[in-house]
This record gives sequence, structure tokens and C-alpha cells, in this order.
Amino acid sequence: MMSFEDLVAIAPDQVCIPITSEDHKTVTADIQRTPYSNDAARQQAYYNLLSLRLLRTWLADTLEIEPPSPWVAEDTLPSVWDVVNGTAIQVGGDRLVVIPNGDRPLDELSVSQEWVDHPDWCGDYYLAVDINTDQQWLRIVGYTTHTLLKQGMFDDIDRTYCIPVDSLIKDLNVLWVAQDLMPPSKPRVVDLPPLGSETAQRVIRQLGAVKAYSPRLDVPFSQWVALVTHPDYRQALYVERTASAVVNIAQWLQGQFQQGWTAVHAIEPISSKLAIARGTSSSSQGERLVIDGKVSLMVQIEPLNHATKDTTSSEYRVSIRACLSQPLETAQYLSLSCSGGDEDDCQASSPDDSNLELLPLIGEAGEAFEVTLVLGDQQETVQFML
Amino acid sequence: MPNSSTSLALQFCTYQPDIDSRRKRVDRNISPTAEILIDDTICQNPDVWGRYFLLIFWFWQVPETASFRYLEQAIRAWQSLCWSENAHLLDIHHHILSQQQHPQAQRFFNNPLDQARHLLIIYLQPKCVAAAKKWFAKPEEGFGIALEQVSDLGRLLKRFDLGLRHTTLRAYAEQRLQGKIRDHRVKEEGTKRYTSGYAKLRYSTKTAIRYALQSSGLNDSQIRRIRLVLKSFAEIYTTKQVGKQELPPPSPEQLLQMSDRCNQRASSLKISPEFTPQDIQTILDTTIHALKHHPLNRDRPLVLTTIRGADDEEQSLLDTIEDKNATGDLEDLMLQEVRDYLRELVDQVFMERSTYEKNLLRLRDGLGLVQREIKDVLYPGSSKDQSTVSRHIKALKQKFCHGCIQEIQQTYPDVFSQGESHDVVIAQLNDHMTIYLTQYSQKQGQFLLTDIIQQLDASDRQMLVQVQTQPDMSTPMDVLDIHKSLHASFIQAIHRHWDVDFQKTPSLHYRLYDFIDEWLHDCLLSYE
Repeated sequence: MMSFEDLVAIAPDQVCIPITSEDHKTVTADIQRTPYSNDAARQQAYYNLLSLRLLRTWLADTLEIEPPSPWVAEDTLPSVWDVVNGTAIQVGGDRLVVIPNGDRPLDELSVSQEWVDHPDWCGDYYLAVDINTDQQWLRIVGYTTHTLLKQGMFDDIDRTYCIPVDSLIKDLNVLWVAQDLMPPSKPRVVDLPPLGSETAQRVIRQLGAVKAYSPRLDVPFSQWVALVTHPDYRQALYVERTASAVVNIAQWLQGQFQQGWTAVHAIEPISSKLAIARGTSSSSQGERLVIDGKVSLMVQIEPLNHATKDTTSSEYRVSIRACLSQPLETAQYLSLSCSGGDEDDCQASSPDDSNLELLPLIGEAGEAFEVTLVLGDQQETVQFML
Repeated sequence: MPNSSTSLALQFCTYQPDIDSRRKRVDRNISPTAEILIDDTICQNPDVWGRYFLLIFWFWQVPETASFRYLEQAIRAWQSLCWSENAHLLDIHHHILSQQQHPQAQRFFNNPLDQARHLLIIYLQPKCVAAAKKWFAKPEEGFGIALEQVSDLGRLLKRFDLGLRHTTLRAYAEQRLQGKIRDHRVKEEGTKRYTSGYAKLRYSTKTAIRYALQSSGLNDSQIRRIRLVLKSFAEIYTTKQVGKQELPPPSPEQLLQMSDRCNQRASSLKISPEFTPQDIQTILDTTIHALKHHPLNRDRPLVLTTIRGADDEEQSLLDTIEDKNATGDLEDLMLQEVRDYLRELVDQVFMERSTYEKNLLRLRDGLGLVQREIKDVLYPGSSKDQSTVSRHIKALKQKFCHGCIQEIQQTYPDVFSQGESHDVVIAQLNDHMTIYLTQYSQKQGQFLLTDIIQQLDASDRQMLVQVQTQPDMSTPMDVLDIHKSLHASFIQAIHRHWDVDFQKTPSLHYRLYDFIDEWLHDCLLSYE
């Protein structure tokens, strides 16, 4: 495998940026705090956020400018990354569309059609970014222009414009010089008809039900691009797709349990001694089998301040426990961790221990957290919201 | 002129036009056009055979003009080629013809495109060897990758101008290859290799999959159907297993979801017939099989690489290829005067740089030091990070590029109005500016060595010449002493003229020995 130092030695003229542990940690934490509809979308968001952070800093240093901003409000970026790969950055009057490729070979720059054929999203330049998280580096493989990309191959199976890496311009000095001396004319992209409100709502309902993968191929391109480039529609779609991906456990206090969760009444509540000591009985517990049914995840929510089952209570205590439903195999470990909130808590078991319990979390309504279980080489993450 | 070589040349193409084609009206312009093409643009150049193969290859690629008529006329016009200057290439041709009975060669002789393509690949093989040795510790590994690049002739030689007088096909291919091989090494070493079935399927690139399926003999329609399935696989296949080389097959539920997904999209993509879960499984298995048996970087075209010598021993065909007529120097594709102007600009801009900037270029492009080493030399004992040097070098290169392009834009504006994108033209100019800058930076060290050589005693120079011209001879102690003295003088000269002190970084002295060895021969030759 090629370390960052090896990469710089072999390709000294390429832009190579190391990924520090701090970079990885902050980006991971941000991604974990944000709901995404599926694991692939979350991974895509990770690569895009990492690219955005590192390249903004690099551009600011290289061009001696303020860190450039993305083309939409930053807090709406998850709604983009949940369904489309890529991020656009405004550098002066030009838009650079960054297309990250993570942890797999890079043979061609593959740009989703949304970035090319809509006037609000199309870029002046497209950067191919290669990310290697194992060896902790990011490199800009090369770039192309809107005109050259349109002359490339269009793949109608996944609606992308593709151009081989060999055809990219490798030296970014060319981009800066061309931008300065011979700025390209702005891409001419035909305006597409907007989506009416009723149609938009219908499409959002239809596509909101598609959570396992991006729904961008499920409706004609003209409808899809009108939806995704409209900030309000895109956000509505994002909410629709991520709503059920996140478990709202505050609703359990009113007896509302999401699909896959079972209300637990008869089983001894978690930390029952503490509950008795506090004199409260207003908690609710849910249970769900995870990791192919090998582990039972139990979560208990309890409103604080001796409130009744009032979901508007400002604070909640959440207890989390994992139990094995079958004995551990030799040298296999179960680990349970939680992120979000103020602290991380992690426990690892030994082969003799089939139960794990985390320290209770205290959180306010609206806060999100994530629980990750790892059993051997299998892993599953569940997102919660209070 | 006609002799046995001519008869061999006429045997080159075994293509026979069919009866229908003979009845077509002959274009009266074809014959003179083909003759002009052959005589003016091919025969006038040293690498005539390579260009001729390329011409055949191009004719066959373009359906509208690759009428067999052009091909036939080109072969007939070929009779005017100068055989004696290309005898070594005729050896290749002779060898190919001698293999006619070989079972593997049958397909080769059925199609002029295949013949031209394979001969061209053989012709370019020495450059594959050179590129492999430069970028891979095990040249045989890099050679395979280089050969794969060379096999994609349409892409590798796409911009080669047959009429270009000052560039050989090999020199042009070498420049293109170097960049590709380096990029391939980064790609190969920078990513995990997934060797097993579903992991490979999940992480293979579109290019690798397309290549594998085409190599398996599938047509475009079949490949398109498969690609729809693979898209659904990418969307739906999930596993809780993380970071593993082995991944499990999709579950029955996932196969059903994939078939539903494909059926949902198939009609709008005009793909039929419908998909069942069993179809999905079969297609996935077919693709895995294709990826396993036709990996992108290991499949080789049919290339006859050995010949039987006069004593019936097998010899490497590569040993028979001697680039006797290549000029070696690569000129770019632009007007000669633009090239000359660019070279002058590079020299001028270099001289205008500060001492520090000149030293960055002398050390990096001239002596070949890497950034960490440059930092150690220029900032000995400092805690500065090598990224400081990296930033300075990048800023310097940008200044160079900007300055040169700006001048050319004012002096030769037509260069940017030839139809190519401005970014592409600037990229080409930048590539050549980089070459000229490297050459100029290397000369800085060479000039110092030349001065030192001039001050040696004639007898010492003679000994050095002898060692250089007889590399198999063991080096006498006297010569080793002269070498050491040269090395010490070189360090002093660098300090005096560049204000760079290598005395503080003895760990880098071996790099100076490398430079001295590499350039000493040229200094001595030019001096003598």
C-alpha cells in the first residue's frame, strides 16, 4: 500500500493532502450526528465532507483567499449527499465541482448528470478526487471543464458523464492560469421547467419511500433534477427519507414503537434498582434484534424531573443494553458503543460476557445519538433521536 | 528495387477484397492521395515502418474512410519505401510471416488491422521495458501494465501527427507511457486489491468490468443488460461485513429486490427481456467469472515475442529491435517557432528567479532530489516541514506557467484558436515548458561538471573515458580516487556558484555520485 510519503515522492506535482486523525475524527463525528437514509449514503457523505473540508483549506492556502464556500448553505449539504455524490465550491466567479472517489480504484471521472445539465448546479470545472482512508491521503487526480465533460461518454444506466482519468488535465496550475488569462465562457445549459408544487409533493412521497439507495434514477431526469436543485423540495425529500431511519424513542413514552421494535414490559427494566430508588415508573423500553438476529438491543427512555409520560419533557435518561442471543464463538468479541451527546462510552466484552450495558445518557428533546454494535466482523449502527 | 524484401512486403497483407467490393466504382483520387500520404509523410521520416503500421491501424478504425481501397492503394504505394534503412523492421515482418502456421497466429493473418496492430505493439515494446524499469521495482510487473497501455493504440497514439518531422513514434509513445505507468502504479498501490468474487464485483471499476465482459466475447447489447444488473447490485447489495476481502453472496431477498429493480428500469432503457432472481444470479456469476479470467492489467494481446535464430535457438524478439534511426529528442506538436520561443522563455524566466528559487529547481529538476532531501539541504537542522518546500516549488511552477503562457498568448495568439479547448492547449504548453525547465535545470549541474573536467589532467580524463566506454572493466583504484576528487570538487562548485552547502548533509552525497555518474559520460563525450 502506498503511504502519503511514497505518494508525494512518486507524484510530486500532484496535489496530495494528508488526512490527519483529527480530520477523520471530526468528520466522522459530524456525519454520525446527522441522519442519512442508508449506510451507502452515510459513506458518501463522509467522503464529500472530508473533501470539502480539506480542499477549502488547501484552496485558501494556495490562492491566498478566504476559505471558499459551497454553492448552497452548509446545513443543507446532507440533503444533497444523501442522494447525489459531489460538492460544488465557489472560487471567485467560478464553480468547482468536486467528485470524490473513496477507497477503490479510480479509472474514470464519473459525474452525475445533475452537475452538468442544470444551470443552477453545473460547474465550470470538475475535479476528480481520490481518497484513501487506510493510508490517510487525498489527492486531486486531475480536472476537466464542462465543455470537455459534455464531449465525454454519457452513461444512461446511471446517468453520469464519464471521462477517463487519462483524459483529465493533471496539473492544476493549468486551471489557475487558464482562469486568469483565458477564462472559459460560462457553460450554456438549457433551463429546465420547474416542478409544480403538487407534482413535487407527489414525487417526494414516492421517492421518500425509497430508502435503500438513491432514488435519482426512479423518475425521469427532468423531474428529478427540478426536485433536487430546489432547496425546499430537496430538504423535504431528505426529511421524508431519513425520518424512519432515525428512531424517535421519545414517542415510545406514548406507546408508539417503530417497525422492528418491540415494547418490553415484562422483562426487568434496565437498572431497575436505580428506577426504584428514584421512585419513577414512567419509563418505556424497546427491544430489537440486530446483526442478523444474533444480538438483542434494548433501549429504555425515562423522562426526568419526575414528569409523566410527557414527550415535551426537557430531559431524558436513556439506558442501552445489548444481549447475545447465542453464545459467542471462540475469540469473538461483542462491542457496544454510543456517539453523540457529550461523551462516548464504549465497552468490549470477553467471551464469558453475553451482556453489555452503557452508562446512561442524559439528553434533551431533539438531540440525536447513534449506537454501534460490532460482533466479530459484522457491524450495525442504529440512529436515535430524543 | 523489387527483390525478396518487396515480395515479403506484398505478402504483408493477406486481405483479399470480396467480389462485391471489386464491383464498386473506384475513386480516382485514392491512388494519388495514398501515394502522397506514404511518400511525403511516412517515407520522409526515420521510423517509417512504425508510421506505416499506424496508418493501417487508423484506416481500419474509421469506417467511412477505411475502405479497403485506401488500404490497397497504401500497400501498393509502399513499394517506394527505402528497404535498406528499415531492414531490422523487416526482420520482424519476416518473423511474423514465418509463424503463419502457428495455431495462435491464424487470427493474426486474417485481418490487416490485427497485423498492423500487433506489429506496432512489437515496435513499441522497448518503450514498455523502459517505462517498467523506471516505475516498478519488478520490471516484469510494470511491463505487463505498459503493454496493456500500448495495446490501446487508439488512445495512446491519438494525437500523433503522421506529418510531424522531428518526433519518432517511439519517442512520442514513451512520453505518453511514462505518465500512464506512473499513474497506474499509484492506483495499484494506493488501493486495496480485492481478489474474491463478490468483493471484486463490488469494488471493480466500470472500465475493468467493461473490459472483462468484452474480452469474454459478449456483445454490446448483452453488456448493457449486465450493466443494468450491476447497477442494481451496487444499489441493493449490502452486507454487515466490513472491510473484508471475502463477501457473501446476495441473499434470496436481495436477488428478488434486484430483479424488481431491473424490471422497473428496463423498459425506459429499452432493455429486454425481463429479469428473474435466477437471471440476476447468473449474470453476477458470469461477471465474476469474466473479471477473474480477464483482469484489466494482465490480459495480453497476441504478441509473438520470440524468434528462432539461424542456429534454431529461440531468441527474444526484443533483442532484434534496434532503434537505429530514432532521433531521440521529443518535440511537441506545435509550430517550430512556438517551441523555440517557449524554450527561450523558460531560459529567460529561470534567470529572472531569485537564487533560492533557482536552487529549488536545480536541486529538484536538476539533481533529482525529493522534497524531503531539498529541505535537508536548504534548511539543515531546521524543524521546517518538507511541505514548506513543496509549497514553494508549486508556487514557483505556477509562476513559470503563468509567465510563459501570458507571453505566448500575446506573441502567438493563434495557438489558442485552433479549435482545442484553451485548457487543453495550455496543458500541452505546460507539459513542454516542464520538459524544457527540467532540461535547463539539469544543464546547470552539467555546466559545473564540464568546468571541473576541463581542469583535470589529460591522463585523468583519459582514464575516466576508458571506464565509461568499457563498463564491464573493473574500475582501477586510480579512477576511484579521481571520482572521489571529482565529487569533492562538485560539492565545492555547488557551494561556490549556487550557495548550497552539501557538506552539512553527508547522507545525501550518494545522490551527487548518482548525478556525476549519469552525466559524466555526456560531459566526457562532448569534451572529446
